[in-house]
Formats: sequence, structure tokens, C-alpha cells
Amino acid sequence: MTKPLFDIVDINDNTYSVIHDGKSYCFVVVKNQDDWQVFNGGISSIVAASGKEKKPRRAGAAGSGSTNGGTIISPMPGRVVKINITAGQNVAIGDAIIVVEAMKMENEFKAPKAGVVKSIAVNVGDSVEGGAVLVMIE
Amino acid sequence: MTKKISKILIANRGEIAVRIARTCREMGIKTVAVFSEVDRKALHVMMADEAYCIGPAPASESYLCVDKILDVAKKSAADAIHPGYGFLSEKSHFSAACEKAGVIFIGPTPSAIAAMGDKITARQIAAKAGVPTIPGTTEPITDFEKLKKTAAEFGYPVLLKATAGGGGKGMRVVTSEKELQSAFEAATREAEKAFGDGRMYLEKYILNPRHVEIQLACDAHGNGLFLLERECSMQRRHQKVIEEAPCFYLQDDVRQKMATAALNLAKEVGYRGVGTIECLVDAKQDFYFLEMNTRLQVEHTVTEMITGLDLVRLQIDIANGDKFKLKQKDISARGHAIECRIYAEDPENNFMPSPGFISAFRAPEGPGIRHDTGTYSGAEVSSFYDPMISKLIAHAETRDGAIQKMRRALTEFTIAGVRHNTQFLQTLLNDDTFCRGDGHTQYLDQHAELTKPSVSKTRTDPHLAELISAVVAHHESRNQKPVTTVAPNTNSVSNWLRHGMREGLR
Repeated sequence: MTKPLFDIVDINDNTYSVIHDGKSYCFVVVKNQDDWQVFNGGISSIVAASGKEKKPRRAGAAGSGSTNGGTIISPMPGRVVKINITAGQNVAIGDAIIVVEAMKMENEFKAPKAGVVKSIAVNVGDSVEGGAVLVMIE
Repeated sequence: MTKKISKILIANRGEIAVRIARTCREMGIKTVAVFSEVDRKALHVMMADEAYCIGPAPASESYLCVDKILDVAKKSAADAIHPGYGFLSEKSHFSAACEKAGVIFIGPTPSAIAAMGDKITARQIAAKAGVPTIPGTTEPITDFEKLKKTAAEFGYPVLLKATAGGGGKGMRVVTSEKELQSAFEAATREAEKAFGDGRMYLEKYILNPRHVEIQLACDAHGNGLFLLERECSMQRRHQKVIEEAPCFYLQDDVRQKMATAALNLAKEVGYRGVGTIECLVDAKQDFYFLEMNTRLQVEHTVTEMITGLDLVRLQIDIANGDKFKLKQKDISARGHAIECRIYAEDPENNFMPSPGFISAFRAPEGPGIRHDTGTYSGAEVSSFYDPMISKLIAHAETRDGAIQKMRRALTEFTIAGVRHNTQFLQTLLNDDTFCRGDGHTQYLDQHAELTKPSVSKTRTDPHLAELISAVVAHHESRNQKPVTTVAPNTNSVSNWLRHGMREGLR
């Protein structure tokens, strides 16, 4: 049995027009950390570099507040206003960990995974820069 | 005859600076941009006639520096400054400093800004102008009988608020008189424990309030115009997400009452320029003054769509000392407009800001679509400022038509490199409550499940997963270095694919 072949036409560096069974699709493919992000009709999905589609990632995806598994990073400069945990404490995924105030809004960071609080890099009242590590959970 | 404004310094950045520059260009007015070090490549810089760096990234060291901005005004010989929204737009000392420096401030007088900027004086002026305010005590109540009497005057439900509380903390709703005593005692104990101060105020509680705001324009000759209203109830933690004009459920007589009250208030404070009076409206369409914003608002766009007016042009005309040629009877709503604010934020992660570089950007176009943005493909969404990417506006003959247009436009919007709220907005545009117009200011906060991506039609396409895999594989092969020296394929379809398709057709 031959593999299905698709009519894929390059529009530009990252845009493709596909016609399959008469149906027309437009895909935009961009890098998203180590994977690909594919856009179609205003909806995107993350595809592993091997080519298999998987569910869109939450924690660890570009731009979110928690990356690298258990490290909570502030994406923007701000001020630490509340720390809900202590070093050595057990946390569950989704627990409220730390609050950074930026742009007059309070941004609450939740635990990206269950584990133990390894270290807290800041104190309440500290100013932080964009990209600053706040808390590490392992 | 006084000289007309010929050069405007835009004391702002991002989409609003671009938007102001556009009207200036249409009016033949030269523009001066100011930018911080991280905004050197910003769109507003490229669109202006002149541009000057005013300091490092933090707003406090750049966009909020009155002295630096006035220095640039002097250096560039700008005759006027447009403050945009946010930053210095509602700082009376900036308006005063401009006056002192001999530069026209495109906005109200320092005293009007100061009066409306103070919550207490604003309420007093509103009351004086006959604008209803939310009934509330001006002093804490300790005597229970007095509390009972006041609550009865206000009408239930009422809200007990701790004096020392704030930001939504220390509040308790009481729905009837029989609950009042126990609620008062419990709330007092809680407040004492939490804040060390058990004193309570009483306010009328508006259940499921709607946010309706009145757009005004006032010239320097005492003429005021009501430029219709906007509906902005779709808010998340007091931040507007979707705004509309007009407010389709507002009864005509209520609209007239609100307009009259608003114009009275503007007159009372000697207002000049464009301004917005924000109100809460309850289920009976009684309205209550919240605050007045003495500047151009983010959502002025929907008012422009339905009235056909250019509010920035109006601001400049007012600043030039022109008398309105427009009459109130000339102003009416044509169709319905909806605005969605597109932010670089992650709805699935508490709407955390998602700054970064935009790697792909294609905005919607076509009939009835307006797109106001300050960014472009390859630009940075800075972590130092509000992460707004764009404002997307749809205008149609009816509200349903505008909703359909907005849904269509959102499917055309491709943004990569940062997280953004377009899918969240699409969910809202398909939400029954929103579509019926039954939303209120607490709705989004009460329905966190709306942040979860909803299953869309495309996702039920059985071939989609396969196609996505094939496209990714194709994309990867294009981006790999060639391993053999083969003549470059100048056709858009690869030889392998073409061969395969031919074979498949046999």
C-alpha cells in the first residue's frame, strides 16, 4: 500500500498551501523551543521535531512563566509581593507558589509539577528582572 | 488668528502612538516620536517624522520623565504634545508643566485632570452635577441601628466593606435585613483579625453590574457633544477584554439620562477635550458613576466605527481652539462595532505576560475589519511595558454580524513567538452568554473554564493530524543542508513529491 502523498506547495519560508481531497489548508510552521508550532485557521499545535503531533504543551513552552521542568521564571520585570511556600515544602502541581506584581497586575505563578521546593531565590519586596529565576522545584 | 498646531510630540509608544501619528499625517501635522532604549526598533519610531531617545527601558526612566519629554519638545520645536493613554496622560502635573513650557497639552486643564483623578472629589462633583453615585456611607458605622436604617435606605442587597480592606478583600454581601446583624458581627470580627481594624462601611451592592461608559467631547467654547456609549462588561480582574459600541440593551431614555448627566459633569468641571464617564448599570438600568477618564481610551476605536468620527482629529481640533462645527443631531450610531484586545499573555497560565520576539505575524483584513497595532513580524514584545499586541475591531450592520466578522477575523490571525489570547477570545465570541449580551463584570472571573481551549471544527477533521505531520516533515527537509550536489530545484513542488503524485495517479 502506498503512503498517502499530499499536494504541499511552498508559499514562503514558513507558509505552506495544502490541497487534499479538494480541501484547501494553509499552514504556518515556526520554531517553538525544540519543537515546531504549526498554525492553521487561528489554532496552533505543537509538533515534536520527529513529526508526530502531540497535545499542545503547557509548562515549558516559549513565553510562559515556568520553564525547564521545575524552575519558575518571571517573564517580565516586577516586584515579589507574596511567597506562599518555604524551602523543603512539598507542593502539588498547580499550587500557588509566588506572586509578582508587574504593570499594576498581580501575577500568580503555580507549581508546574509536583515536588519539593528546592530553593527560593527571592524575598518579598525584591525587584526582579525579566528572565529572573524565582523558585526551583524538584 | 492663532497659529494652528503644525508639529505634535507623541508622548507614548506602541499601538496608540502609531494611531495618533496616522491622524497627524492625514492632517499634515509633523510628528515627533520619543522612545526608550529597548524601543529603538519600534513601529512608532519608524512611522514618525522625527524621533528622539529619552532613556533606558523602565518607564520611570523614559516615558514618565516629564523633563526629558519637554526637552525633546523644545529641541524639536513641537507646538503640542499628545499624551496618548496611560503614562502621563492623566497626570495633572504634566498638563501643568506643558502649559508652563509654552507647549499645548492635547487634553484637559490641570485642574480638571486633578479633580477627576481624586476618587473623593470626583464623587462629590458627580453628585453636584446630578450624576447618581453608588450610595455609600462616608464614615464607618459602628451603631447597629444606624446600620439597619442606612441599609434600608440604600435597598438590599448591600455590601459591608472593611475600612482597612482593599482590592476586593474584607467585603461581605448581605441580601436581606434578617442576615444583617450576624453578617455585621462576623465581618467585624474577621476584619479585626485580618487587618487589625474592625470598622465597616456600608454601600449599596450592585448585583452582576454591567460596565457602560459615555464618550464625550468638549471644545474650549463650552460646547459639549455626546458621542454615544460603549459596553465593556467583559472584564477579567477589572481589565477590559472585549468592548462594544453601542450598548445594544440600553433603553433610549436611560441613554438620554446618562448623556445629560455626563455633559453636566463635564460642564461642572470645566472639561475640555475628549473624555469618558464610566458607570455601572444594574438590572433595572439604574446607572451609577464610577469614574471619569480624562483622556482618550484604548477602546475609542469602536466609537469611531459607529460614529464615523476620528477622535484624535477631534482632540487636535479642540486643542487648536476650534469651535465644534458638528451638532448633536448629526451624531448617530451606524451599525455595531466590537473590539478585541490581543495581548501577549498565556490564558492557560493565569494570563501571565508572554514577552518575546514575534516570529510570524499575519493580521486579518477585509470588509469591516480594522486592525490597530504597534508591532510587526520580527519585532519584540517588550517585558517592560503593557504586552498589548493589537486591537482588532469588527464593524457590521448588526451585533450578530459584528460577532461573525470577529470570529472570522480571529481565524485569520497568525501570531507566533509569543503566547497570546486569540484562542481565548474565540472561545468568548462563541460563548452563549456573550452572544446573548448577558455578560456582566464578574462573568469572566466566575468562569475560569473559558480559558481552556474549546474543541473547534478543525480539530474534528480526520486528515488534519496527518497533514500537519507531512507539512512538518516537508518543512524539516527544506531546512536541511543538501547532502549531495544536486542542481537546486527551482520549482515549488519537490521532485520526489511530483514523482510520487504521478505514480499515485497511475
